[in-house]
Amino acid sequence: MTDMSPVKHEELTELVRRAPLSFVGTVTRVGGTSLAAVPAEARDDRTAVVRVDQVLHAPEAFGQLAGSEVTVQLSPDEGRMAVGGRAAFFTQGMVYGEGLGVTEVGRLPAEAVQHHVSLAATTADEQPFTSVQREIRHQDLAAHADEADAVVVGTVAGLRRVGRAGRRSEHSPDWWLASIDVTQVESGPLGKGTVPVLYPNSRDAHYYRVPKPEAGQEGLWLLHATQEDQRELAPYELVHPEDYQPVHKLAVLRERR
Amino acid sequence: MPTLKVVNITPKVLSGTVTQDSEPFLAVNPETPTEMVATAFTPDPMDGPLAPVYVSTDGGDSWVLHTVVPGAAPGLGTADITVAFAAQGGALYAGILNGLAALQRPPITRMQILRAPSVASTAAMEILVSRDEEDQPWVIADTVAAGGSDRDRVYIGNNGPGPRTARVDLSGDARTAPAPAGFVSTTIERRNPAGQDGPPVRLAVHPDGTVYAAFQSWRSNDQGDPITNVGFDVVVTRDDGGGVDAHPFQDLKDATDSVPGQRVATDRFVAFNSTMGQERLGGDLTIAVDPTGADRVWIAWCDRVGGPAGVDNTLHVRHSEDRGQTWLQVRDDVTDAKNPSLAVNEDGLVGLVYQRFASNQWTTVLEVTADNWSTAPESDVLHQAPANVPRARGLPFLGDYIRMLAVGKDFYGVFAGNNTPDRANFPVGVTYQRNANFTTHQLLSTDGVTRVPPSIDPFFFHRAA
Repeated sequence: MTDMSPVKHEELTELVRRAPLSFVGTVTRVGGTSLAAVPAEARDDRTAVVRVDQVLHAPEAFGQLAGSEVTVQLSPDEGRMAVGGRAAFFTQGMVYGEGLGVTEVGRLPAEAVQHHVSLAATTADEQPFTSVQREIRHQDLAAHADEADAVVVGTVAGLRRVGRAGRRSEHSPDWWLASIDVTQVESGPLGKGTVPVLYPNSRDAHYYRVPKPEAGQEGLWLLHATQEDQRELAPYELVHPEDYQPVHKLAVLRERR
Repeated sequence: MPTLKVVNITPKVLSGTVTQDSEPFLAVNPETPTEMVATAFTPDPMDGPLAPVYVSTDGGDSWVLHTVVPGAAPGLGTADITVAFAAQGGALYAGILNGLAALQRPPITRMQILRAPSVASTAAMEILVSRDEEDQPWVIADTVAAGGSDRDRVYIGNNGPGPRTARVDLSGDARTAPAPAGFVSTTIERRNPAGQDGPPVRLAVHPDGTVYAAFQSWRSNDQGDPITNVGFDVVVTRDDGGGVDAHPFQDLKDATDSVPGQRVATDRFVAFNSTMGQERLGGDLTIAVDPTGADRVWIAWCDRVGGPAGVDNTLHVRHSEDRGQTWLQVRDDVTDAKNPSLAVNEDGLVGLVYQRFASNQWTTVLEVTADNWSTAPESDVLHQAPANVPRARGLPFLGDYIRMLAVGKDFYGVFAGNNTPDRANFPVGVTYQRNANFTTHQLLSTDGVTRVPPSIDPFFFHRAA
C-alpha cells in the first residue's frame, strides 16, 4: 500500500540538505541508459531512466529540467523500481553531457511531497522546496553566526588600504580596513563605537565572494577575530561570503539562536 | 587545405549555467588524439566535493563533465588547474591549486600534483604531491624508454617560496609509482630576484630529452599590496637530459654573466594586477620547441612598453636557432594583447594564439606561419565579442593563460570568451552544445525556452592539417 502521509519536516530538510537536486519523476527504463557519458561499468539493474515530471529543488542551471529524462543510479538503500513507477528522487550530480546522470541519495513516495507541490502553486516560491531551502539557509546563517566572534549592526564609515609587504601573486589578498560604526552589538566582546575590520579587497577567484564593504553601507556584520599576524592591524576580519547580511536578517538570526 | 573548427565545450545539460568558466587549459592524448581533457575555473554544477574536467573522446565535437578533481570549493571548484597526457600510456596528470585550501583562514595556495589512469576514469584523481605557498602549476609530460619499459616524465612549472621562486617539479617515473611518485622540486632561478619571480613558469619538452623552462625574473617591484610596478627579465633555462641529471636546468648559461638561464629580454616592465577589458595583467609567457629539431625554440611574453606611464600590454615574439642562446624578433609586436600560447607541429609550422583587446572587444586570433612571419601568416579570428559582457565575476575574467599544443600536424587549443551566440562573433564558425538561438543571439536553458544571460565559456579549437 502506498504511503500517502506527508513527509516529516526534519526528514525532508535533511534530504534537501544532502541532495542538491530533487524531482518527482516517472521511470521509463530500467537497466540501461542512452546517456553515453554514464560509464559502462556503472550500468546495472539499478540504472534507471526517469522522466522529470516536476523539479522540487535544483541549482539554478537545472531549474528547467521538467519534461526531460535523466539517468538515475538508484541508491542501494532504496528499493528497485519498475517502469512506470513514480517517486520523489533526491539526487547528487554524477555526469553532465548531452543529458544528466545523477546518483540517488534518498527517495520518497511522490504523494509524500504533494503537499509542498500544491502549496508552491499558491506562493511566489519558484519551486516546491524553495521554502525548505530558505529554512536551511537560515539554519546555516545561525550556525555561521555562532562561529563568528562578534555579530554587530553597523555602518561603514571609512575604507583604507593596508598595504603589507611580502610575497605577491595574482592571488594576493590586497588587505583593506573598513571602519564600521557599530550601533548594535548582537554578540561579542565589543561595545558601540568604531571597530576596524580587515577584509581582502582582491577580486581574485580566491576572494571575490568575500564581502567588500562600501562607504555608507549599513549591514549585519559577522566578524571573525583576526589571526595572530594580522592582529596588529585590526581585531576582526571578514573572511566568508556570508559575513555581510542585510540588517533585516537580524530578526532571522534571533529567531534561530 | 587545413580545416578549422571551434566548439563551445559547455555540455548541453548545462545550458542553464552562468558561471565564469575562465582560464582554460587542454590536454590531448598523443596516442589517441581524439581523446582530450579540458579544464577551466568551472565549479561542480551541484557544488559537490570534486571539481570537474571536460572530457571529449570524439576529437572535440562533444564534451562531458567528469567530476574528478579533489578539493573543490563551493562556487569555485578548483583554483588554478592545468593538465597533460604523457606521450604513451594514456595517464592524465594535473597540477592544481586546491580550491578548499584557497578558502582557508588564512588562505593557502596549496599546489597538488594529480594523476588519473586514463581519460575514461571517473574516480577522484590521486594526489601525488601536496605543497603549500605555491602558485600557477603548469604541467607538461613526455614518455621515455628506460630499462625496458616506458616511463612518464612529468614536469610542473610553479612559483614557490622565495626569493628564487621559479621552480620545476619533475618526476622521471610518474605513471605508476606510488605517491609522491618521485617528484623532486628544482629551483631554476639562479640570480637574485627582487623578492620573487613572476607567477608563470612555462615549459617545452622535445623527444630527444631537451627541456626548456622559461620564467620572468623580477628585477624590481614596488613592494605594494598589491604590487603594481614590476621590472623583469625574460629568462630561458634548458636541460639536455630530460631534467633528471644531477644539475637540472643548468645547460644554458647566459652569454653575458654565465649564470644558468639565458636572458632573452631585460629591463621589461609590467603593471602587475592592472586591468584591461575587465581582465588583469602581469604574467603572460609561453615557450615552444620544434619537434623536428630541439635547437629551434620560440618564446612570447607581454609587457608594458610605455613603462609606468603607459597603458599598453604588448606581445613580443622571439626565436632562437641555437638552443636558446641568441634570440631574434620574428614578429611585429602586438599591442594590447595577452594570453599568448605557442606551439610547433611536426612540419615545423609555428602556431601562435593570443587574445587582443581593441575597440572594447576581446578578439582571439590564431596565426600559423611556415617562415617565421617573414610573409603574412595564415591568420584567423576564432572569436570576437564585446569585452564588457558579461560583467566580470571576480578575476580572472578570461584567464591568466590559455593553451595551444600541437600533436602531429594538427594544432589544438582552448580559450575562454563571451558566449553570446552570434555568428558574427565566430568568423570561422562555431558549434554550441548548450542551447542557443543564433538568430536572436540568445542562450536558452535546458528547456530550450528559458532565457539565460551571457557568461564566460571555454571554447575548443582544432586546426586539422
